[in-house]
Amino acid sequence: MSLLEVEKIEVVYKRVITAVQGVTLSVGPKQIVAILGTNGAGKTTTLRAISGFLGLDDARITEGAISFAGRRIENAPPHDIAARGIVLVPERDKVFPNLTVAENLAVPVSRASGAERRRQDEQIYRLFPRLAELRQRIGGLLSGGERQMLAIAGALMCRPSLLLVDELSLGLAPVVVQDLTRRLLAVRDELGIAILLVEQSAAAALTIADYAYVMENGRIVLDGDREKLKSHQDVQEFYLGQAGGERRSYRAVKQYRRSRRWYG
Amino acid sequence: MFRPVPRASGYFRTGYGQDLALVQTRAERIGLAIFVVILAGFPFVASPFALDLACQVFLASVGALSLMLLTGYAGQISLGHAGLIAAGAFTTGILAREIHAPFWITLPASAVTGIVLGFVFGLPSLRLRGLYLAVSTLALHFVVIYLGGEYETKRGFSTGILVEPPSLAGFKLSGGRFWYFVLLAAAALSLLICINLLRSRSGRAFRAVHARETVAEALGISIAGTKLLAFVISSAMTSVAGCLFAYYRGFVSVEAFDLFLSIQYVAMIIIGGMGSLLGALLGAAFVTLFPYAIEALLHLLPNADKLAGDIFAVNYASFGVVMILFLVFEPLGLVGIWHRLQNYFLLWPFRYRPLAGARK
Repeated sequence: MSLLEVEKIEVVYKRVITAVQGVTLSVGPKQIVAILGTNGAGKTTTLRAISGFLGLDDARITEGAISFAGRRIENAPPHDIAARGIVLVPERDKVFPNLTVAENLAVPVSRASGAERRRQDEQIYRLFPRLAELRQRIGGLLSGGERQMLAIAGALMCRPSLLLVDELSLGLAPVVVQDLTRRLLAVRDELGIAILLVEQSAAAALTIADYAYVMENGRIVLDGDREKLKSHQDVQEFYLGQAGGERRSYRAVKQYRRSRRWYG
Repeated sequence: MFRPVPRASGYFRTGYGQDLALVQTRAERIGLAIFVVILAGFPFVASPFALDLACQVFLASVGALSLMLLTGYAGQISLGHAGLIAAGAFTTGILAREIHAPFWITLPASAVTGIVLGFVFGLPSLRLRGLYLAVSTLALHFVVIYLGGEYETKRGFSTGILVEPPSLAGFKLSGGRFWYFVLLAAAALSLLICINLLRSRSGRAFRAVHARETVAEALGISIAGTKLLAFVISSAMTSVAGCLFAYYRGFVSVEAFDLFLSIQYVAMIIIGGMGSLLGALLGAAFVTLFPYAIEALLHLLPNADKLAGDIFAVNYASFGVVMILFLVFEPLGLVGIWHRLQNYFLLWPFRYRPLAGARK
């Protein structure tokens, strides 16, 4: 049985703009799943639909169902969803710039307390040793990679069973992205949680994801496990840029998109 | 034997117990002790006028601390704090007048009034922010002042309500020195409440909601609950300050709580320095004493008696100028100046802290 089950959801912004249509996906326990796609494909909207943030953007899930661990959660408020075990690491503005690293990690509402909480503290600092060095640094003074680490560590303090990460690689150097993806793997293995990634960089996502979905224009156009997607011709050509060693022209990409829109 | 008194130049706390301690080093402990002795000795050497000034500063400190909690930490602007002080004062005045309630009833009653008002006028903060929120809290001020004015005219106290000094076991509690210590205790208690609240889960939630609402929500903090809690706590503290104000002055009247008072409270936390409790205290002292300083300066000028009629105008104008100067040249406020001074002596003779982790 899978942990998260998204069934044919449709999301409408401001009652007029349909951003996502008929998206179905599932995340199993301890699985790392990625959603790939270009800007405006509906990846972030899907993530916000799961984490309950659509209400803040004046958007609603008009059709379909989202269930988590057997319970329906669509249109529940975000802090409620966080309490049930789904925690989102947002795209930007993800740390509290006016709080120190230690305080940032103390903010999340955790089910643990006392000695349990201290043990959890130590575990997080072991997974992210860099943060232990930065304990008293103000969040606003951290570098991009450190912020991403702090945001993920903060989310883990909520003890989620599913971690949602929006754009892990946004604005980060490839070396840092590599380090972060390796740490996410370690987090999955040690804490036994599931992770749902949203990524533009297919190369980064496909190194750790067990399963991936490709979105175009608010629909899922392709899905499969890592090996299948990596060897899939379209993904190679348009997302990994590996076909014949050269990048496809703008026109070819556009034509590809148009065709996918009808098939999808 | 002389032992050097070092100041902490970094973060040297190594255990949870040390993290909880309010006073860290010997220097801090000595400084605090000296400060307490000065505060305790002050009423025995000061003139009645200086004593009254000190009492006003303490009262303002309670209000400024509560507003700092709401605006400086939770990020919710309020222009209604004069209204809340009025609400506390009127609750006390009306209860004392109508049913001769003793202070141990009026004090909690004022707090309850503050809680209710804070909850009701905190509700708009769930939808509004910034300037719009400020305008909606302004409504609180006008509602309270209107109700207070109606009560005064309907009951025939058109000049104001007289409040008897509180009594305990037959003794009338009054006198400058007595009130000095009561208000000092009130200010100290508010400071302790604020310090400990800010170190707790709710305090971190305040600052988290201030900085990034969505992230706070994602991490399981209820934004609505946090904002309302900030409003309720701040309003309750302010109302209690109003209650003390009523007893201290012995007189409650709507004229004392005009909009300028609200502006003064906002000025206190801006001039003192946003997001710092020490700033609230410094700001309260500065704003309260400022008009008296201007008056004293005017008296030093030649032809002082001819200028006497202009004192109010000069006061307001120079207050405005000082406000603008602070916003432009020292946005961190008095506390920013204080920290810079501290750092200068801490690092002397060097100018900057070395880069963290730099090799020696």
